[in-house]
Amino acid sequence: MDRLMKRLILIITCMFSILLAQDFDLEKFTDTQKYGWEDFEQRNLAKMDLQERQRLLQIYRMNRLTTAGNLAKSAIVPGWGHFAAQSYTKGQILLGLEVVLLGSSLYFYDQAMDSYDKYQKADQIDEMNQYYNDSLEPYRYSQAFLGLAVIVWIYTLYDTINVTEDYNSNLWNDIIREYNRQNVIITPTGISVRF
Amino acid sequence: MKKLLLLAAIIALITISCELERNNPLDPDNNGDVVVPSAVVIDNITVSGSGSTSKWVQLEWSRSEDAAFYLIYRALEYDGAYTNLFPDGIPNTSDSTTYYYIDSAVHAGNYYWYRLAGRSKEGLIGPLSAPRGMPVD
Repeated sequence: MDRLMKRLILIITCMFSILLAQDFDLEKFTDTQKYGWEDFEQRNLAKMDLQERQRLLQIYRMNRLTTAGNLAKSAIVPGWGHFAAQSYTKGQILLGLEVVLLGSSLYFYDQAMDSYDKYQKADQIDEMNQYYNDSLEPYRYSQAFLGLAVIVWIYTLYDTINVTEDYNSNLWNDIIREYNRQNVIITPTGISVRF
Repeated sequence: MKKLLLLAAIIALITISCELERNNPLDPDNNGDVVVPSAVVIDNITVSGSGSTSKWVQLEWSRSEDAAFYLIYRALEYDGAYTNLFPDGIPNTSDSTTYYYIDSAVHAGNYYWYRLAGRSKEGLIGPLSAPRGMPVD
């Protein structure tokens, strides 16, 4: 019974193999002009072209900026990501804004804390109320400037994504342009020479 | 990523919109157990006569119910720096309705200004009285 079963499976497998073999187009498989190559020389040129493109891609990968890395730079020092992406004017404006806003926030916070410390040490009701009220206004200014700094910081991060994408896009175009500027280039259709 | 940044912006703005906390333990707005002593007013002020050899200034004020101590401040100018003559305060223990204090550490030729305040047992000093002054001849 067991032997009969094995034979049956073998016969079924053979029948399937024959059916599948009928669909296989041997001519198409052996067609040397499938990719437009006329001869071995052209196939070789196409191979060299592919290798060249891989080299360009490698150059691109080495020089491109990662969005995460650039975001980290901008998160630490606003504008750093823009400088890295060669967007100098935007980087300077955003960095300058952050310095001014954070500086103003710190200045008013220091004033607020000066009065607030006195409030915390006060034991006379009028002084207590006076110092607390004195600390409120600079504290609100400090908060407002800090809020603006946070908004600018978040915008900087958002814009860093855009400038990084633009930089990478321009980088690839520059690599291709530089590559095309070369006098002698290898193409699948042969060697191209520019004058 | 952009939605995450928007969320971070909202959280940051909520965080920075917080007010300063009234955390002074003597602040009645923070601690409901603290009693604010009512204002103590100087009812009367008298000085020693010009011919007298010993110079003094006497202050008189009415007893305050909610003050545990009285503080007496003195200055040489109306809006000058007032010095607390009794940092520990004068205990409000007497049954008398009127209090007196005689300041004998005064010199002829000066104008002395005084202010009074009550202090609660927790240590909170109430409103200062309006300054009252007298020249010592």
